[in-house]
Parts: sequence; C-alpha cells; structure tokens
Amino acid sequence: MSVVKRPSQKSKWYIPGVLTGLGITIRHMFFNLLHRKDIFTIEYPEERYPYSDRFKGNHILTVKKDGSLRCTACMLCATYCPAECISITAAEHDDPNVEKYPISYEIDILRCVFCGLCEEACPVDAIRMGPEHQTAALAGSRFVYDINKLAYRPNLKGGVLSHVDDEERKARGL
Amino acid sequence: MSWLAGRLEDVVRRLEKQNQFSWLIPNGCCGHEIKNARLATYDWERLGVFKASHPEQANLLIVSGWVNSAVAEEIKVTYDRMIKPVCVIAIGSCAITGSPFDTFDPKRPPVTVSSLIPVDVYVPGCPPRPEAILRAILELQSKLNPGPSHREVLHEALRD
Repeated sequence: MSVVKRPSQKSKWYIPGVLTGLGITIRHMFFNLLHRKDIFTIEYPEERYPYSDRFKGNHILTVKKDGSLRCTACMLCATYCPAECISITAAEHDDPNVEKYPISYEIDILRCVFCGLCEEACPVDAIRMGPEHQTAALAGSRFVYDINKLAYRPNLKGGVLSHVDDEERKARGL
Repeated sequence: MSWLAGRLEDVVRRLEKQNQFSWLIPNGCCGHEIKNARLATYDWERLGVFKASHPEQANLLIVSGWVNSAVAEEIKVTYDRMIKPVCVIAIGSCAITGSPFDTFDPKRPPVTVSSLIPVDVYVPGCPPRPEAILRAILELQSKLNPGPSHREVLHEALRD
C-alpha cells in the first residue's frame, strides 16, 4: 500500500498563515491609531459628505419676490413625471396678471424616483432638486410633501428665490 | 437567583435594543448603496448594526429592490424565521411602492414589502444615499430607545 503525500498535508502548519494574517490586521490597527486623518470612514451624524450642487435631492418649490409660489400650475411636471407622484390642484388667481396658481402641490416622496425630469420640464424654474439627501422616516409619518414642506421648510429660511421674474417675462413678450 | 435572572434578562433586552443584528435582502441598485453604507466608507457598525450569519440570529431585516414572486416568498420565509420582535427597513421606491416598474394597471397593482410584512422605517429614494440609510437606522434606534442616545450624551459631554 502506497501512501500518496498530497501537497495539502503541508497546510496543517497553519500557524504561520494565521500569524501573517493577524500581522496585517495589527499593522493596520497601529497605522490607523497613528494616522487618524488618513481614515476615510465618514462618521455620518457628525460629519457630512460634501455633495456637488447638481445633486438631486429633496424637491424645492421656489418663490417670487413677494414670497408667494412661483409655480403657475401648468401641469408640465405632473405630466412628465414617470412615477406619477406629483398631484397639483390649480385655482384662478385674484390678480388678473397671474393666470392661475396651485392651491395644493403634493409630491408622494415614496413614489418619486428623483430623476429630475420635473426640474427639466418646468418652464419658469418653479421646482428644483435640492441639495439635501433623501430623508428616511418612521412608518406612519407624513410622506406626501405639501407646499408648506416643499417651499417653506425651516432650513430654506423663507423660500428660495426663482430666477424667473414676472416683469422680465412681460418685457420679453412671454 | 430569580432576581439575578431578571437582571440578566433586562440587560439582554437592553442590548437587543441597542444593537441590531442585520439580515439583508439587497436586491437592485439600492443593494449597492446598502453595501456602501455597510463597508468602510460609511461603516454602520459604528451605530451598532452587526452582521448576522443566518436569519435565525438576526432581528433587523433590510429589504430593497423590486418584489417579484420569488423575492416575496424569500421575504416571508426570512421574516418568519427571524428573532421577534423584528425591525424592518424598506429601502428604495421599488420595495416601498413599486413605482419605477409600476404598470399603472389597477388590475395588477405592484407587490410591495408593506403588503407582505409590517415595515418600521421607510427610506425614499431611487436609490437613496448611504446617509439616508444610516438616518433610517438612527430613527429606528430612537424609536426603540426613547430619549437621548449614548452618542448624543457623549458628544454633549465632549462639547463642554
């Protein structure tokens, strides 16, 4: 009877291998202790990753100079939306120069896919994708964002001013 | 002896609330964001979320991606085998409402996670950023342990 010596039998000397592996771990541990600034873990609640200005986050409805909504309720965003998450109710404005305005503008944030097509479709820069990342919330909280949340939430500090001005548009004959 | 057992049970309950042992069903593109939140860049073990090697050892289920019939079966079987009470986080529009693949046909509504199992935290986004996933874990922990967390207490102490 011949005993074949397979190369795998050498591997029972696993202790050098374990020590090599542990050595790598311990080397990394001491390196990280000595070079705290080279650690690339982002400690989230305390420090934030700086996103670019193009980041497509939670929506913002812009406002006019007098603080009312820029939106003209033309329904282009609601038509263009691939997830059908925008619902607008339009109403006639008291001012004859303003054609109509939204009395309710709701975005179902759970349906939204953050594609930015509403921002592209808008002819008057009334809706933008904001710099804040998506907000998780417990079940039972409100996920359908209304005008109050979209345009006048506290961190916007009274609303973001739109680029489009009514008088400029009138001068250009739009 | 019974007093000691009661104390021990209290400690175990508290630790169960502070640490979650997670089981992932990371389908779709949200799965990549979950892995991003789990690995070195956003490292959710800092927040007390650990990896379970089996659903029977886990008490936090994280689901993402489109729920088809096979995934629905997987979610139900996994949920039944986990430690109760189970916390569930649904990530992404597919898992929550099915909107990116919705046919808008009222006869065939999309299957969602919340129609199969009770969901605790919803993370909107397509896909959400890793920060949003970490925010969901913080929301869940603030629901399980009301009041200031250890992290906030520590930072208050360090600030003074």
